[in-house]
Amino acid sequence: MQNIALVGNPNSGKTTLFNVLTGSNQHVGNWPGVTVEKKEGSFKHKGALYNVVDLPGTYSLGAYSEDELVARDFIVKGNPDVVINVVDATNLERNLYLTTQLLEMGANVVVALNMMDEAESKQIMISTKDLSEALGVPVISTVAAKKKGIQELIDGTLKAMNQEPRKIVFTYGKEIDEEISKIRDLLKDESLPYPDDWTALKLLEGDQEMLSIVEKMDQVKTHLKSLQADNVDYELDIVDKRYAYVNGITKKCVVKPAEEIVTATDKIDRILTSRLFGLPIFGLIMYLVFQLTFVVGSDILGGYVETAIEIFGEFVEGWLVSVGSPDWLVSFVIEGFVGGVGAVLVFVPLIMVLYFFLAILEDTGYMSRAAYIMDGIMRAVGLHGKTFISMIVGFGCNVPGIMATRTLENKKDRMIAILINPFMSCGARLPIYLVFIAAFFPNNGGLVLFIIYALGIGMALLMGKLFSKTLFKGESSHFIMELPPYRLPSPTSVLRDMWEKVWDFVKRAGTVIFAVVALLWVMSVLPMGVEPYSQESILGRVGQFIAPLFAPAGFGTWQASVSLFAGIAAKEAVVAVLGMVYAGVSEGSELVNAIRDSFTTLSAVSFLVMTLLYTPCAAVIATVKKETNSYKWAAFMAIYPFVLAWSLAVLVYQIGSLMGF
Amino acid sequence: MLKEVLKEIKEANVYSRQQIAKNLEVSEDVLEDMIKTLVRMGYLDEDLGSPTCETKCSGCSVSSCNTIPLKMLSITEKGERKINS
Repeated sequence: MQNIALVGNPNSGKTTLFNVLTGSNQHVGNWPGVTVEKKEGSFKHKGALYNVVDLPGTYSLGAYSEDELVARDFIVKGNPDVVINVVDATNLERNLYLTTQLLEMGANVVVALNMMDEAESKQIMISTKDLSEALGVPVISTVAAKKKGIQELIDGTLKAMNQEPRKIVFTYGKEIDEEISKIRDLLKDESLPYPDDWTALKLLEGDQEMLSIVEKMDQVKTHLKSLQADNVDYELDIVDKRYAYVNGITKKCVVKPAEEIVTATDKIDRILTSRLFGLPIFGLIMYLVFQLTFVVGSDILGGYVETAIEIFGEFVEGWLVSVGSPDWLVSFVIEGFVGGVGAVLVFVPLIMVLYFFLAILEDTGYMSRAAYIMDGIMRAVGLHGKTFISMIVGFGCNVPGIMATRTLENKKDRMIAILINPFMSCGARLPIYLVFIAAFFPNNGGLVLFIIYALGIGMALLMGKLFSKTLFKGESSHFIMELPPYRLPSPTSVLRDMWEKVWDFVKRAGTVIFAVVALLWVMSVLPMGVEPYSQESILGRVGQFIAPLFAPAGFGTWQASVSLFAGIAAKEAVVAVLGMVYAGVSEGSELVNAIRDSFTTLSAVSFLVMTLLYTPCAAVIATVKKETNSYKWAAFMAIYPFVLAWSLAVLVYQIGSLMGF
Repeated sequence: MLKEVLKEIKEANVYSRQQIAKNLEVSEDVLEDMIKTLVRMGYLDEDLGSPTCETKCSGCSVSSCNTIPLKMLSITEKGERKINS
């Protein structure tokens, strides 16, 4: 029985052709020693039975995957009488790379130019006659899915079986041809499983399988080592010759309709990523996002969660009292849990809306443009362009933001990116801004939030510049980035993205924040006998001890101080603690009123600056330790943002006071 | 042709597959294959930018951090040598 192998790129219609040829006469197994599926079948023609092997779909015949190895091993060692190379006519240039490699191997090839109907519908005209002449093998048009051209393919294949394959002589340039010849001579007395020419070529390409075959052939090894010692690398030139060969053939045999190169994406990008308008448009879009967040999240949805938490708190309190629960339990549940965790949860609608709009920006492809615009600024201030990726990730959470700095190969670039990442305002800090905005800037929420985020970015750039000029000097390398085409946002993807982020926020409120609140509640009622949440409690004493430090910044109260202290455990804890210490069940509007009474507008601004820039949370510091493998840098990460934040907060307050605010 | 791809990338500001493919008169798929080959051979460095979040980082508050689908390419020292050769 004669053997036919089917080989082709993935999605070239190879398996469809196999099914058409073999019908139900097929069986599936595995290639020996690998997990790649082996499909074999047979068909009868004029009384003779032919075996057909469907080889794994592959783009080339290197040794870089099991599929490639299986395909090339069968072609060389399996001795098929004919190799049908299934070629996608709509993507001829890409498919012919594999064809070229088949011809290099000296296989008896018949090209099935498949999907010709699709090629014609795309107005791609291919001259099979010219293609056949150029390749030196039969080329037969097929549409396997519609069983067209199958008989012609079978006839052509059987005809080719009885003929010697035409040997195509490739030239890879004088130098490489000479090297192939030299190695071939060294191989001629050896017993090899592959043709000498092809083995020599593959050795020059650095093919690992071939190198292992010649491992014990001293002369060949010595010759290859001498090439290595001379720093000669032919692989690129060999691959290049194949591409040039294919390119030449397609230019000769294929006529394509002229393509419209200026797409809608190009036209939009000319404005959105332009040097002149890119940054202002980015700023405007972010401002609108923040503004819409407040309009939709606060004005439209805001009240429902607050009311629900209030009703829940009253219901639980009533129930606990009715069942005779001890005072401490009522205090813990109502003042600690509802007051603390509830103060964080009340901002869920705003956070939900913000993430909804950001998800839309991401899904349309605009966030990639934002990254591109930021990249320009990064370079302008002397930072590595890739730093912006970690910064954007840091807007979600600084932990993955710092992890994202791993993409920077240079240690100096990476250290700068790590050290400035916490200035990117993470999602956990949002409730702090939102509660202060509700208290002092209810009519300009979007603008204030925009300024806070912009200040974070500005400070990151400034510190980055400073570090690159002092601690970490060095050149940054060039890279380019791909911008995906714009597309309409998919509602499912946007809602899923928003939901995942909101759910993470809620989960954290119920776990980490709850744990922090529980600990702080204990500190707020001990020692026994003191007035809960008073200055005499442990929490109050800790706050009083720290408070003088913040007096020059205008918020030297024990409550504000202790909330900042708790924020080092987790940033959401700042609002949770404020909710707890300002009279227990103080979520929502009650907390806002309490804050309005305890801060002035100026001290509120100063507090916002402090919370934006001061020591990142414990998880971030731990990540810095892990990523830098240095306690020194972890300590630096904890201290320098605090010093910077405190200095700026004091500056804001003192200058503001002098100006009469 | 591969050396030309390296040169195009060196001179570009943004990786536009469409534009580079047009300049080199090859299809976008072929260009993509060429870039993969150059990455495999060590002439180019490919970077997908942000972490994938396939595994949750210790201490991370979000399981769905911003994963902007950005592909970045930079020319390695080996690539620079090839361009200048």
